[in-house]
Amino acid sequence: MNTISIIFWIFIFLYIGIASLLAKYIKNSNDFYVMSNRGTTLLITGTLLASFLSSSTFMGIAGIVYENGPPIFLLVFTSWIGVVLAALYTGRQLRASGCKTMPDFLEYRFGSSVRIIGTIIMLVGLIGYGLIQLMGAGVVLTSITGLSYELMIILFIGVLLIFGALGGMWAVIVTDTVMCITFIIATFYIAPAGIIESGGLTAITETLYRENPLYFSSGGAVLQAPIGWSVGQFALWALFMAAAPWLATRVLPAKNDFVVMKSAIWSILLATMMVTILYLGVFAVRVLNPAIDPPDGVLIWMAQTLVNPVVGGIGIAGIMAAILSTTSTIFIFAGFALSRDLYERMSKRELSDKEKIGAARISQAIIAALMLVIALMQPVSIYWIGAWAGALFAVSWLPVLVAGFHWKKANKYGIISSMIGGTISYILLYQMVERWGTFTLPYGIDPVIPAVIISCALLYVVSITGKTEQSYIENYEKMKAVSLNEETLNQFEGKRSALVKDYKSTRNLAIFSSIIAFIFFGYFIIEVALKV
Amino acid sequence: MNWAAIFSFLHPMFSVFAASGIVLYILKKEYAPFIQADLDEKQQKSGEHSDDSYKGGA
Repeated sequence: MNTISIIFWIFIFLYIGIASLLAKYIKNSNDFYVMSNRGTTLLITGTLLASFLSSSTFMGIAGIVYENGPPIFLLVFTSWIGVVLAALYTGRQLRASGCKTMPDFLEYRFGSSVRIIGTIIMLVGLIGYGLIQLMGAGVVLTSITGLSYELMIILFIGVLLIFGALGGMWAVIVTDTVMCITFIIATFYIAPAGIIESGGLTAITETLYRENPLYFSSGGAVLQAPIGWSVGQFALWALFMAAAPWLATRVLPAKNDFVVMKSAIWSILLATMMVTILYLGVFAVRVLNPAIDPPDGVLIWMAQTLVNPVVGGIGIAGIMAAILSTTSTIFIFAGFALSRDLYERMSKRELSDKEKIGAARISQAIIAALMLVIALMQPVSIYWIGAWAGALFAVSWLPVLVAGFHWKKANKYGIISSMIGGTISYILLYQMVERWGTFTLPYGIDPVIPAVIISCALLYVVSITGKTEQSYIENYEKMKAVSLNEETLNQFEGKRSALVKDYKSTRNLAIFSSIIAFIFFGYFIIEVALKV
Repeated sequence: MNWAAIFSFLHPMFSVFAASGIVLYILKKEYAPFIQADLDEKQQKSGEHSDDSYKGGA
């Protein structure tokens, strides 16, 4: 058994162990779904970071950067602003509405038919996105560990099932935070080691730049994508992340508003710094080895070759953690959608808390079985769904959420037209442009942009021509009457000094993070960007 | 000047600024009035206290 296989098995047992320990915290459905709002800044930062930095960040996109140069993804990794919006805009609005999941909000604002359609679209998107991550990572890890693909998938899904069903949101958030430590080691130690071993930043600004100046173009040295592609990807990631359920609802378990704000700042500061260092590191190692194959394994190659085996092992564990954490998050939200948003709501009677937890656990098992079958069969259609998955949230959920939060006249017919019309128009546009070659969009823009416009137009036109039911207008007015800070102010009632303390620490963190970002990125602008 | 390279680093930097800016805006709009009220209350109390001390001293 090689080092990587040993690490792999340690990880598998670690996950199961943590989940078993956390199962005792699950006393009611509120614990299972939102940790009974006990999330601290550390836990919410950890889970936001872990959900955001996926296996694609460390493998697929790292491989693209290795071959194409850093700007291609440093420019379009717009999920930064998407994450900020998910936490500080979408997440806060959902918290104030007292929702535990995103379909809860749809039900409250537009009724059950909208909730069912929204949940189905969300399930397809979540399963497609989660499976693509899992299957892609499974293929790469199979080649590294020597384990068969089938065994890898069965193990991953088995572990996800055990800790998802046992520990619910507690397990996901705590394990995410633990795994974050390994991500941080993987990036802040291994990536700089790559830069130093390659000869420092001059390897990037002189050796590699002389080899091919296109490494510093927005479209990349190999892909040479048009500027419209960069703009389209920029829009896609920002819109997708702002409405991604596993990010927006990630702040629901937070203790209060200050925890949400501090976690948003910490996660964006750490994520931007980590990804910048990571991509400069994986690119620099081209000087040492320009023929890593597959390129997706560049960080694994660095962990095995450039640092001592213990740190390298932790780095590889970080990559595995990224796969597990993103998949676990998506997996648990798919289970939530099935149990809370479909089963509980359709049940004719009010379920007891014990029944709710039971339904949630059975749903996790159903999702696990479904993912296992699809991942083992690897049907071609799953790659299509995977390609659409991210955009589905941008076209079908984001316009609906924004209208739900801010537009009184939005009605269920407009919402349904927007969701279905947006989804169909995106899929058709994507297929015609990317697959069938029927036509091309100007400047190579992504089909998500026209699809979002169509989705918004349908929402507006159908809503103003239809009638909005009075009960939903009343719900809107009730929602608007609740200010976003109400819950937090109630929590601090009679504890003025604690409120002032949290206020000041949040304000200081906002100022501190801006100063750190200015110094950190300013350094790279001077030392890299202005030298190429 | 290579703008793609420059924006590669400006983009994440501005994202951190955006997050901080939004948080400062939320604090100012939604929490500062309560903090200010607290400070005013404290000032008022300390003012009353010093008045009392003065009176006592006399």
